Amino acid sequence: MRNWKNDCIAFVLLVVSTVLLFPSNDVFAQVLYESTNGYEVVIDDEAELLTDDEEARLLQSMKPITEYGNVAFKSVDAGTEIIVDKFADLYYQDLWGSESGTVFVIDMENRMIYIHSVGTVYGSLKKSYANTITDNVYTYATKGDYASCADKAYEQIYTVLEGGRIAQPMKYISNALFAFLMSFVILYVIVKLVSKAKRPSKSQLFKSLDVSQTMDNVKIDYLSEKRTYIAVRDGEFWLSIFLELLEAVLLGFLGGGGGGSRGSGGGSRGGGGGSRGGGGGSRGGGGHRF
Amino acid sequence: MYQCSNCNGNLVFDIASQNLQCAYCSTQYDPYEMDQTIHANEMDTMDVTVYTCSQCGGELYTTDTSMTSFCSFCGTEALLYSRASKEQKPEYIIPFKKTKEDCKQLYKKMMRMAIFAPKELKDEKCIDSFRGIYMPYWMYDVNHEKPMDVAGETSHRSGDYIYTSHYRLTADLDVHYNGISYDGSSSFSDNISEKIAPFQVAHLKPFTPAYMSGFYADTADVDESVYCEDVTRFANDKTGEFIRKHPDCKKYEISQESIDMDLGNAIERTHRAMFPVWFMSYQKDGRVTYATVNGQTGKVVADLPVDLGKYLIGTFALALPIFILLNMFLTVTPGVLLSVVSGIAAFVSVLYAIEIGKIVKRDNYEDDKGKQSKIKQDMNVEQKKVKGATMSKEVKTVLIVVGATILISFVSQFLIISEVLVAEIFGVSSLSVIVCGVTLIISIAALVFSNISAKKLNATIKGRSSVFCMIATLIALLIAILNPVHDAFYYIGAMAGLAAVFATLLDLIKKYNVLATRRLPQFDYTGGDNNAY
Repeated sequence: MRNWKNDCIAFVLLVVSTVLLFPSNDVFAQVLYESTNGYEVVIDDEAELLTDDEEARLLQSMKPITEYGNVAFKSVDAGTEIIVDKFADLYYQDLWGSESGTVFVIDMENRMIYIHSVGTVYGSLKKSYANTITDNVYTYATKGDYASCADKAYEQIYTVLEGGRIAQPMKYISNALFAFLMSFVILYVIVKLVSKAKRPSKSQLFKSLDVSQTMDNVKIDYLSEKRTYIAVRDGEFWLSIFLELLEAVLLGFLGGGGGGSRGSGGGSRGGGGGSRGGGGGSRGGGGHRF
Repeated sequence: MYQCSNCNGNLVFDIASQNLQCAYCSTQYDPYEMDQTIHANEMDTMDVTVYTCSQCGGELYTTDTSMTSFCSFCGTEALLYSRASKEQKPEYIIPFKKTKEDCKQLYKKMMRMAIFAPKELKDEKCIDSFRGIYMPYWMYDVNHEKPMDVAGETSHRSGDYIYTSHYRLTADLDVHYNGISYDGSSSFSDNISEKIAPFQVAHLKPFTPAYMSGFYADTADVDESVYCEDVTRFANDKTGEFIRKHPDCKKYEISQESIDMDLGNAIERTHRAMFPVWFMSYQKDGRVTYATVNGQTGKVVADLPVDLGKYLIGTFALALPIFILLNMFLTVTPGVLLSVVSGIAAFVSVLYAIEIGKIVKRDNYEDDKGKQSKIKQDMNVEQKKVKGATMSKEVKTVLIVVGATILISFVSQFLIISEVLVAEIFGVSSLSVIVCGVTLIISIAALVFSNISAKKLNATIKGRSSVFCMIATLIALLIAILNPVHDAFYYIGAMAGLAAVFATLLDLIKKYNVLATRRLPQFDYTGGDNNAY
């Protein structure tokens, strides 16, 4: 659970700063390549992590992804206060709205890498894949080899978009541990259930007896009446209580989720090329510290 | 011993024909006719041969003089001492309706479900050792034939007010319950007799020793007063139900307390009876396993220990499809993995503590009123103290509820405060720290509970395995606080958690086996290690 007041303040500041920092794509986010289907490639190395050669090499890795959507690289300098998942979402929106695509962010302030995807790309590159890919490449960032980190990430993103397989050691290790523990506990519960002989119910015991029940000459005498004040609560009152509880639960759940998954999204912004399309507003991502 | 008038052969009760039958010439005799000639002069007692186990002191008796070769209570093929004696005749008997073959088939059918049971329990030789035993029962007749006078009320709302009208309900009540039964043998555990019930009293027959020919009987050593409270509660509840459902009364709310006050204790008569049970015992590693089949209805109740080897094979076999299934839709980050493993460790600690609590309850006979009363009787403890014990149990329940409420509010407060504190102090994602912190508290509480419970036994049963889970949750909490970048730390933490959970689960299975078996009975002996398992 997070401190939501601080989060909200940070979010508002972020929105304001984003608007101030990114008044136009032309200033910081220069389009380096535009594919025949209208999707673009942007490399915005604000933290100056890449050399020119590395940027050129990275561009080559990013180009194939334009078959599916826009693709961006963004590095953020240390000293910039951001929440990386919200930042990636806003940054992408500012570039391409809800069009299909992905952005790979290296956040030097929080020392975090993050992949955010939108639309068709998000259809294939869900949060789980974003987490897996960042998990596979974070060690390059730890060593300071940011170019290889981004290069490998785009390589794996493309493999996933092509329907190929990428190494998922994190997934397999975790699931193997889970499977073993779950199996042991499930079998234990089964053994307990199978071995538990049921006690007969009271009605079963009752049926086994020799019983006779009669009651005659029933007489009912009125004695007194008592009046107690208990205010009526209408439906609206209980609904408001329920909504408050629901809100608290949802806030707790989302606050604990991490990873920056987002379900919101507006309609298509209708960008440049005719063949470019949105992805139904779905967006989200995952990341890893380095 | 009954002899055939044609060939002098031994007569035994034939379940299929419900008659005495000669083992050699198959001539059949009506059980009552035989007893009129042989036991004409005996009214309240009968001649029996009592067998006493040299190992556990358990006693069985029979009207036959044929020697038995093993003890049904401890399963030992030990030397059984026999002596001639006179036993008080019960008033009623339900003769065996299920044959030994029926009993074996019913047991085998149930054991097909018990895939992890040790193979010895499915062994033909073991199954063949089922023995027909008549268990002594107390049968209570309750009579609520009296004028009823109870309080009732109706209520309705009008605006912000609730109007409650009070009434006095009177009637002529004529309610009878005949045959409310509780077992009268301390060696026949209440937790078996409660489950093997009910016996249909409609098939009760006046007792004649001929029905026992070819079978054994257990001795009645529990006082009839032991179950009076249970009988009264059962009868009053049922009469309360009847009154509340009566067309003239159903619109009134009538409290059970009002009915109890009016009805009081209305046990009219108590009868001695014999009910048929097929009984098998199997001894291994100093513990005994019982399997019983209701000789009238065929209901099977058996202790089902687990073979650890079979269980582990089952675990690996089930883990594979779960692994494949998880891979289809689940990807978790190492941090989440660590939190979940920590949660599972706490869950297993709680399971472990519950199991230890149950073992203590079982081995101290807290779930066996008959046995408890026998022990107290032997120790010459006054009845007043028994009442005191019941009172303290109620106080205990209240304390548990109050304690649980305080704990829940404490945890809630902890969560709220820690949300702020953890983030401020450690500057890390507070969720995993809170999860691991809460699981650590749960693990410590479970560990303390296990140890306190285990100490009550003063025995070799230890409740310390959950210390591994506690350490694992502590490691998880430290990792969550340190929040290292490299996945390896989380995996090491998770693996340590897995090893701890695995060690605790293995011990949990062993503890389950302790619970699925019983202490060797020590009916007469005060020496030796009563808590050995």
